[in-house]
Amino acid sequence: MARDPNYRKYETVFILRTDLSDEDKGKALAKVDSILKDFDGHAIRREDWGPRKLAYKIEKQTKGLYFYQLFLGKGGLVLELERNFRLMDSVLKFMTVTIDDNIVLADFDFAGEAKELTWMAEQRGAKAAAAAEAEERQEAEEASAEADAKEEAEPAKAEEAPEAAEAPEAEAEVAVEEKEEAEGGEEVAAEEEEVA
Amino acid sequence: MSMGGKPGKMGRRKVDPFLADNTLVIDYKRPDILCRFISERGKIIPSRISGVTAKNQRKLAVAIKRARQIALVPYSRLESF
Repeated sequence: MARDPNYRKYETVFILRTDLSDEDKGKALAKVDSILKDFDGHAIRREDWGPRKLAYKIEKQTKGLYFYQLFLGKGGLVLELERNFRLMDSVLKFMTVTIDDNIVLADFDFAGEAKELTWMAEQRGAKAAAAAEAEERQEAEEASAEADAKEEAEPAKAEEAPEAAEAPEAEAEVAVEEKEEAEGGEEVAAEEEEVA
Repeated sequence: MSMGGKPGKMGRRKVDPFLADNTLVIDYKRPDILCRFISERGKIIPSRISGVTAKNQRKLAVAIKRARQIALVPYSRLESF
């Protein structure tokens, strides 16, 4: 049987332990990269889905760090990757799925595929954005508090300070609303599960 | 095949939720959608109840099994909870 000269598109989801040091985490991810490089693979993109609660305990862990790797490769690469996952203590679980067959490297749109995001990554991004906005809001509040303090201390500047304080507050309110919406969505999902 | 008729007696044909709403996709990476088709116990809900077409039910079953594998969705769950 002649070897297929073309590539296949695979995606691998792997779960790392949450109690890893940053160094161990970096090591595990670097290992994945090096295997992809050494075994004729072409990474398309990696997503960090962040810490998630596991649906069931794995190695007595209730949480795991989810990663998603999309790549082109041939059969031997997947074998090697999974062999290494089995050896690595930091990996709780992994799964590789073939998405596409018979990919000609020259025709493949790497840049386009690298930009797309799975729903999981989008959710994580949205959460991070909400957190960033909440932080901004806190800073704005602190800034406005400072402005108030200044106002009391220096009555001469009183005309400028209130304006500066009001603007960030308006932004902060928007951020709160968005965050509430995101939380509401999760609740609905949980309720649906119960009904089902 | 029911054609409407007296409601209650004939029963209404259920609509496949995946055809009715094209934001619903069958993908093991979407536990939020999959959980609609899993019972409280963790079982896959039969298509005669959920109304999913046979073709989609086959895909759904694969997706749920993959999601279970990677701990996005439970294999089983106790009823009391």
